[in-house]
Amino acid sequence: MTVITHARRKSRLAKMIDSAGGIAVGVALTQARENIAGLRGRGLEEVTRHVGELAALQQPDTAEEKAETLRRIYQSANHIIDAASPFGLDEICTVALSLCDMVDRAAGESAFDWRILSVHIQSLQLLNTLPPEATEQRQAVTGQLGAMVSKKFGQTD
Amino acid sequence: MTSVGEALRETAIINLTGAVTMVVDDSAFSAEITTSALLGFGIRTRYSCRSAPEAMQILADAEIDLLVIDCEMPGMDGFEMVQWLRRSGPPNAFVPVIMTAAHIRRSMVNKARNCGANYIVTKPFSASSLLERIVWVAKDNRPFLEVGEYFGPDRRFREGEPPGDERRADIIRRAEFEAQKAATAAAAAAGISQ
Repeated sequence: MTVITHARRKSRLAKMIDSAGGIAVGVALTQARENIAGLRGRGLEEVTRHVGELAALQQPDTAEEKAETLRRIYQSANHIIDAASPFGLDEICTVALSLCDMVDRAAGESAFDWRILSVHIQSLQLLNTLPPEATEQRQAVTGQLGAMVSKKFGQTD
Repeated sequence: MTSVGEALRETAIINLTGAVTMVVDDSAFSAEITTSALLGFGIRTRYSCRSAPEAMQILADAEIDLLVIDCEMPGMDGFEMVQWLRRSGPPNAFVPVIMTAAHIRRSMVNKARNCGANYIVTKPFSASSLLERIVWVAKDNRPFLEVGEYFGPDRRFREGEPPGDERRADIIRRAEFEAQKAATAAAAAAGISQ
């Protein structure tokens, strides 16, 4: 197979990053973290909105409905990770990630057990209502969900 | 070049103020998280787009310095857009690209590998991982390869050290500097303990 190599010229980004001026990495990170922390309230609202959208979905009857429902579940689960991960909502991210894995698996299986998706969505609802200090309960939710997935598929993906 | 995953020194100075940056994400909130982090680094995002076609329209005319794009988007996804970008010719075909992903479907792994991005950041999102990747892609000096369908940075990372004695001047200088620093520290420690 023919390979054409394009010698790399230094990008403008490479030139400017070491140019005079700028800020210390520590300062940049502090500023960025402060900016993100200011969005926490909206992040929690986004998580609640997407969990609500997931809870409102019905189990599909036809193949077309199945594809569309899976697409919407996958999209909402992605958006939950987007909104939850910057604020350290680790258990919610874990369940949303597992839900993405399940949707990925369901897309390729005709006889997929939809109850697995329902349990994930219920887990997200529960985690979203638990207070931050309920550490044990949160871990129990993710632990039991992980055990269920492991039992069903032989391993936790 | 800072190696992948290597933490940045807190005291290192970076100047990204002039970087013309585009963020593409179908989620307005996720895009806002990214632009807020970038603002902290001194980057004022020039273009924030909700879809690949919207971004492509801008990229046809405007030159950018950095593209941060979400993998999963309805319609044309991030992988397809980066593949288009690499074949788009001047002014943006060689621009550094960071892709972000909450989750990558098994069926998308090859697409992710073949799209031509410089780096894919998987979430959880953190300011430090984003900055590390920006610095990394800025200094990414891999040549671009055109092989069949693929157009992008050389994906072959060399594992381990090259055979034989080290001949690269900068690496030798750095090793000498590190050895000198360690000797000075050892001498100082010995002085304290006496």
